[in-house]
Amino acid sequence: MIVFDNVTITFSNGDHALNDISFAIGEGEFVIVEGHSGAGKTSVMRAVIKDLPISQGKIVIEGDDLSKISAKNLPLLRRKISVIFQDFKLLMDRTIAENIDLALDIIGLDAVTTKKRRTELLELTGLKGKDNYFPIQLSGGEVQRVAIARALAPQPKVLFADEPTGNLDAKTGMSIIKLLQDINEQGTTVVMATHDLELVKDLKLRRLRIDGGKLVHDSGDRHHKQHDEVKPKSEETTPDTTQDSQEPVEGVK
Amino acid sequence: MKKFGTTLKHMRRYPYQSLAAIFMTTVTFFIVSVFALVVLGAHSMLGFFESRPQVTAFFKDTTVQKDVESLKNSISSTVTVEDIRYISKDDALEIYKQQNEGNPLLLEMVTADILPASLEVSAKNVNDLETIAGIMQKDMIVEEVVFQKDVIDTLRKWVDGIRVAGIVLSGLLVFASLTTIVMILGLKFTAKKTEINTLSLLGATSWYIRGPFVVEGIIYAVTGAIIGWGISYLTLLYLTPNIIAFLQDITILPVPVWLMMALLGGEIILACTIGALASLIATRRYGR
Repeated sequence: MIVFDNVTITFSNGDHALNDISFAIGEGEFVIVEGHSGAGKTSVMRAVIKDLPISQGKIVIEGDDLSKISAKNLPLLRRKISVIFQDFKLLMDRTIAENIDLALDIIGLDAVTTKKRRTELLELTGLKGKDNYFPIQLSGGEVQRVAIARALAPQPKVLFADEPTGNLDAKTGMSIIKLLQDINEQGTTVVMATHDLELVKDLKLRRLRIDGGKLVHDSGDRHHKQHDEVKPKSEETTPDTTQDSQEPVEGVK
Repeated sequence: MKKFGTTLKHMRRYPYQSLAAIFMTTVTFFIVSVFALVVLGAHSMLGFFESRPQVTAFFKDTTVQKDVESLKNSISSTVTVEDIRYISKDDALEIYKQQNEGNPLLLEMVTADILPASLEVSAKNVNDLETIAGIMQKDMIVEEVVFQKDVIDTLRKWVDGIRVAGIVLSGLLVFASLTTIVMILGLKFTAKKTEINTLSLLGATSWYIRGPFVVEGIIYAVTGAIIGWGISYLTLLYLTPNIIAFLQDITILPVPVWLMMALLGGEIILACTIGALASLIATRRYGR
């Protein structure tokens, strides 16, 4: 579904955001892109929605070469691949309902359908009754859920979540991951970028580890399409022996 | 309709900027309306003078009808005339009476004997006036020739001058309105850059983002056009009695309603063009 083929992103000062990265993500997968801050996780996400131009290589989405998608068709791509931004990008002067409605309005839904869909999204994300709150009136976890609800509005095929647990406590972070897993189980491909290796270490999901712009580990062959139940950190008992090795594997493409 | 709602929200958030844009376009379209009306009026005046007897020959008292007919034939055979009319002494007195019916003192002092008979000739082509005047002046029965070509030439120069001045001034004001709307919409567009960037990342099309700004530009210009036109029309209606009294026989007023509506229609089309163009420039320039 999404193929990165020797993708390199070089900034004007010569630094590489991504350095010769190759991987493929299949339909319906839940993939964790992990790495430290500045490793290149966000660049992967920005490259997929063509918010960051690639210098070399090729990105193919559902058989279409990203470089050949015109500016006119870019909005259609961005409706197909939704992003939950690290900084949420919610409009602070609008209510939760208005923020979600914005995404629904963009895809051209009428008022009745918009209201119905918004209600569904608020229920799904556990925000029922918060319609008329402003983002500033919500907790960090709730704001994250609003961002998820808005990202799901256009019913995307792929959901990219950039550090969705970034500023949350472990329990709230796990509830967000659980929500993402529920969304994945409904058929949406989910790609979650995180630097919190501890939080996701017990998840039996495919992992792509990025370090310094390079893909250093891909557990793709062993853990495709596994939807294990998420256990809160407090419930952890014994380490999972099937878990991927945390050791970087150089040169994996 | 949603775009219209978004546009009104933009306008309410920055009321003074919106007022500035509407004020500028109002001034522009007021001036455009005034010049359009002045030029139309001057054209009507020109038409009036051109349709009047343009060369008048006053005959000596000894002139007989046969000589007048001879002169008429001479003129008709040389140039194409619109109308040729002999006014006898008695006809001249009747005209004099009509023109001065409110002044009995003037009527008492004048009789048909002291008024000369005349021949009024209007040509189809203004350029033939000089030829007609020449034929008349050569004829022995003619005492004096009153020749209106100079009046028409002067009026025509004035009309041309007013038209050029109107086009130049209107052009400058249209440009000023355009740049004012570009600047105001540009400021608004820049102020909403974060929101616009978010909309783009959420999959909004270019038109979805720019549409409300285009509608806003058109609203500014059309509102200005309607107000400017309205003020000029009210001013014209207010001044109509005075202008009619001043121009007397020249009947260019009142201006027909259909003409004012046509002017409004033309101005609304121009306003839509200005508004759309300005907003497209603003969103393209500041959207980079």
